[in-house]
Amino acid sequence: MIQLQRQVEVFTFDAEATVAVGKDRPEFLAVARLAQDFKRPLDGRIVARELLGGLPDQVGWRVIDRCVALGLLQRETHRGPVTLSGYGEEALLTGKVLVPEEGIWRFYTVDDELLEYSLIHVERLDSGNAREERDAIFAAKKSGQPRASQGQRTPAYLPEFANAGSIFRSVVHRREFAIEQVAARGEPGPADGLTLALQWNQGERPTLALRGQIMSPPRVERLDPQRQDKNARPEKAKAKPLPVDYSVDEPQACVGTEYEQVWQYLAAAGLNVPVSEVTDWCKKARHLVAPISFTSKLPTAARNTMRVTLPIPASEMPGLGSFETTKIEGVHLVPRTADAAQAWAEWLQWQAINKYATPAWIDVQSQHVLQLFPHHRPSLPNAAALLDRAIKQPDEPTARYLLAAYDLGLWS
Amino acid sequence: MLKPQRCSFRMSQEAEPLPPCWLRRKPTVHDNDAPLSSGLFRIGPAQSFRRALVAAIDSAQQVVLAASFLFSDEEMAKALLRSAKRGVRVYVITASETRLNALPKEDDGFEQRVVQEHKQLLDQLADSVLLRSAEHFHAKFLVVDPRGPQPQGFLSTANFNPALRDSVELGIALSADLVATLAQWFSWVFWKEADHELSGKGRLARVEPPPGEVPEPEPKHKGLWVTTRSHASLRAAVLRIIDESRRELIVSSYGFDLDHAVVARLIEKAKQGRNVTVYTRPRPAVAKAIAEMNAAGVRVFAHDKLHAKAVLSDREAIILTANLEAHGLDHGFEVGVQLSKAAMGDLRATFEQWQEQFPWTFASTAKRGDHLGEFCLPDRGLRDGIREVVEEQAVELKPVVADNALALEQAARPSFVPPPMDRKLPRWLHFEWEVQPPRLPNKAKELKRTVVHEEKDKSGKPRKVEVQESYVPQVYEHRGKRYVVVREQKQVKQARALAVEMQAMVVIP
Repeated sequence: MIQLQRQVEVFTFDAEATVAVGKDRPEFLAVARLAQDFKRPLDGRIVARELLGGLPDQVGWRVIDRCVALGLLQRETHRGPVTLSGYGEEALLTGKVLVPEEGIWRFYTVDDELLEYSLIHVERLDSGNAREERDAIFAAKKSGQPRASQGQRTPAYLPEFANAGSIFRSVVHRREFAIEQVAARGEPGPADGLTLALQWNQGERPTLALRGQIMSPPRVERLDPQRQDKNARPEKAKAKPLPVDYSVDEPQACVGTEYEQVWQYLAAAGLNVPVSEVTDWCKKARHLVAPISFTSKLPTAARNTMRVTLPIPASEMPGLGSFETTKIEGVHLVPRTADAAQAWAEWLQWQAINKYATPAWIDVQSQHVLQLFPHHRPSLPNAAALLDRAIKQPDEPTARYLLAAYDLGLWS
Repeated sequence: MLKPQRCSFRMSQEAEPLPPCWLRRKPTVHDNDAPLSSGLFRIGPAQSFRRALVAAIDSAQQVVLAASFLFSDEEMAKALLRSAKRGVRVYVITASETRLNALPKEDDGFEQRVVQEHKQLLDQLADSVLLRSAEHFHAKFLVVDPRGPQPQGFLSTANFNPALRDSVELGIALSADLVATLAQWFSWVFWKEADHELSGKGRLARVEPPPGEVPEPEPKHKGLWVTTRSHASLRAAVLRIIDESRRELIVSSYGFDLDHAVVARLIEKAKQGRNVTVYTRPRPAVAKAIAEMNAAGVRVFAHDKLHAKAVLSDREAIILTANLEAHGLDHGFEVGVQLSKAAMGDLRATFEQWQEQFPWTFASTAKRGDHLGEFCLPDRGLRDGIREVVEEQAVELKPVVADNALALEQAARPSFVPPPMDRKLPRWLHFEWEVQPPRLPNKAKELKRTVVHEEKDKSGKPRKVEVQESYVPQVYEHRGKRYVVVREQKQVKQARALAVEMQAMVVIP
C-alpha cells in the first residue's frame, strides 16, 4: 500500500452573498415525493388535493412555483405542469433541500492539482443589525479613525461558480451548497491548512482525503435568554475548530497512472537507485521488487525475510505533485548484483543453522536458501567448509550447533 | 553409730547386648593418596586425583567431556573456562535441578549448600560450555580429546565438588580404548537422554530430539559397562563378578539397597562361605542392608566420608559410579570400568589399608564388655546416632532408713535396677546409697513410768507417793510401737538395754 500526503493551504474570503445550503425542509420534499410517485406531471389542483387538504388550486400552484424556484421541480412550459428534476431526485435521496440564504459568508477554498473543486466549505458570519453598524461607523469617524476599507475585489472564481450553478459538498459536514449570488467586493479571511492524503492499494484505484481542521468565523455563544444574567458582560466572539475528514473520489490527475509506476518511482527514491533499475528488476521478477546491495546497513530482519519497510524521502511525483516523507511496508528485496546475492545466501545459510545440524540437514537447508535467489546463481559452502569455519570461529553462536554434532558423533 | 552410713554395690553390665550398631575402632582420618603407578587414584591431602583432572583439562586441544552428578569444584571450573577460552569445546552433563532439589537432607555430602554451589558454578560456565542435564545423570568422568593424538580419561567415584578433597573416593585413569568408548556413551546420553540444556545463566531449555541418528556404542564393550535408560550392562557385570568369585569379595559403596539383587547375591555368597567384606558410610539408608549382610557373615567397615564404589573379587575388579542399589544399577546414567591387573592389585592394597584404618565396624551381636568408646545406631546415622560405651557409671540410689538406729548395718539393701540410659552405656554400674538411722515419729507421745516416792505429810509422817517420770533415755509411743530416743553416744548402752526391756525401737530425735 502506498500512502502519500502533503499539506494544503486553505484560503478564506468573506463577502455578502446568497448561498443555497442543504436544509431539512420536509414540506418541499413532500411535493417532490408526490412528483416522483405521480405517473404524470403535477399541477396546482393535484398538489392542493393531495397535500393541502383541498385548498384552492391557486395555493397548489403557489407551492409548485416555490419548488420550481428551489430546483426540485421543472416545467416544460411557462406556468404549466411540472415534473421532478434531477436535483429533486437527489434531494429525495439526501433528504436535504438547497435553500438560499442571504448574508455575509465566508468561503473556504484550496488550490491543489489533485482536487477537482477548490471551494470546500462555506460558513455564514454573524452580522450586527444596520443600526449597530451605523453607530460603529459614526463612532469611528468621531474618534478620528480612518474610514473602513472598501474591501477587495472578490476572486473571480466565486462569481464563476455562481454563474455555472455548481453544487459543492462541504468537507466539514458533507452537506451540499451552491452559490447563487456573490458581491463584487469582500474581505480576505484568515488562512488555514489541511492534510491531503493519497492512499493506494495494489489492484485498486487510489483514494484521496482531506483531514485536519479549519476554524469557523468568530461567533458569540448564544445563551438561553431565560437564564442570562442581566449584569453579565457580552461574550467575546470566538472561532471554533471544525474537524475535517473527507474522502474524495479518484482524482483526475491519477487517471492513467498505475500503482506499479508510482511504487517503482517511490522505491527508486527510497533506495537511491535509478527508476529504470527498479523497473527492470520488477519486469524480471514479475512482481514488485526492490534491488538492494547486501551491506552491513541492511537490518538483520530484512536480511532474514528479504523484506523491508522502505523509508521514502520527500519527493516530487510527476503529475501528482510533491509529497512528504513516507514509507512502503513489505517491500520484497532482491540483491542488486551477483556478489550481493552470494554474500546474502552465505549469510542466510549460516543464520539458518540455529539448531544442532548434521551434514544431511545442512544440505537440505542450503537448497532452501538457494531457492530464495531465483535470479542469481550463488554457490554455497558444503558442510565440511561450514565445520571448518565453526572450528576457526568457535565463539560464533552458530558454531556450537555444528561443533556439538561433530564432536558428539552425529557428523558422518 | 548414730550417723548415716554410705553403702555401695557394683553391678556388671558387660554381658548386656548392644543393639546392632557401628562400633568405633579408631578416630576418623583422611584417606592416604600417595601416588600409585597403576592409574588408580585415592583422595587425600595431596589432592593428586584433583590435580590430575585439572592437568588433563589444561592439556586439552580439541574437546573436553565432563560428567558429574554435582559440579562445584572451583579449580576444575577454572580449568574448563581456560580451555574454552583457548578454543577447546567443553561439554558437560550433570544432574537436573529437579533431582538436586529432591535430595534427602540426611546425607551430609548432599547438603543444600553443596547444591547451591553447584548451581552457582553452572552459572559461571553457562556462556562457555555446552551443558545438558537430566534427572538420572549420576556418572562422574572426564574425557579429553577422545579423537586426538593424546586421548585422556578418568572415571571418578567422586563428584567434581569438595568430595575431590574431603571424601574417601576412588578414581582410575582410562586407556585410550576406554576413553573412546566412554566418549561414545557421553554422546549417546547427551543426545538421547538429556532433558534440558543450559541456554544462559539460570535458563534451562527443553532438549529437542537429536538432528540425526545417534550411533549406539557397543553395549558389551569389554571392560566398560553402563546403566542408561536403555542399557543395564553395569548391573549384569557386577552380578557376574560376584557370581564368579571363588573365595573373596570386597565391595565398597555409598549406598546399599536390601531389596536389590546385588545385595541379595552378596548375602547368598557370604552364606556359602565366601569371604565377603563391605566398605560403606554409616548412613541410615544402608542400615537394613548392612544388618542383613552382617548377619549373613559379611564383615562391614565404614568411614564417615566414604563415597567410593568398587567391587573386587579374587578374579576381577571394577570401579563404578553407581551405588549398589536400584537407582544406579537399574536406573540412571552410570559407568563402570574393569581394572587392569596392576590397578586391581592397588585396589586390593587400598582395601587392606581401609580395613586397618576405617573408624567403624558393624556388629550385630556385640556386648558392652566387647567395646569401649563410641558406637553409632545404624538407623540414626552419624548426625543423631552417636552413643558411647563407658567403663563405669555411678548410680545414686535413694537413702534407706534402718529399722534400728543401733543396727544400721542390718538395714535391708535397696533394689538395684539399672537406670534408663541414653547417650552413654556403662560396662559397670556403681550403685551408692546412704543408710540412715530411724527418726522418732512426729506425733509420738512420751511414755513415762510410775515411781513410788516416800515423803512426809503435814504432820511429818512419812507416806508413799506415786510420781510419773521419764525413762532415761526417753521412751515414746506411737500407734502401738515404742521408741527409745538416743540423743547422745553415751546413751547407747542404756538405750539398747531399755529397748530390750521395753520391746522398743531405738531411734534418733
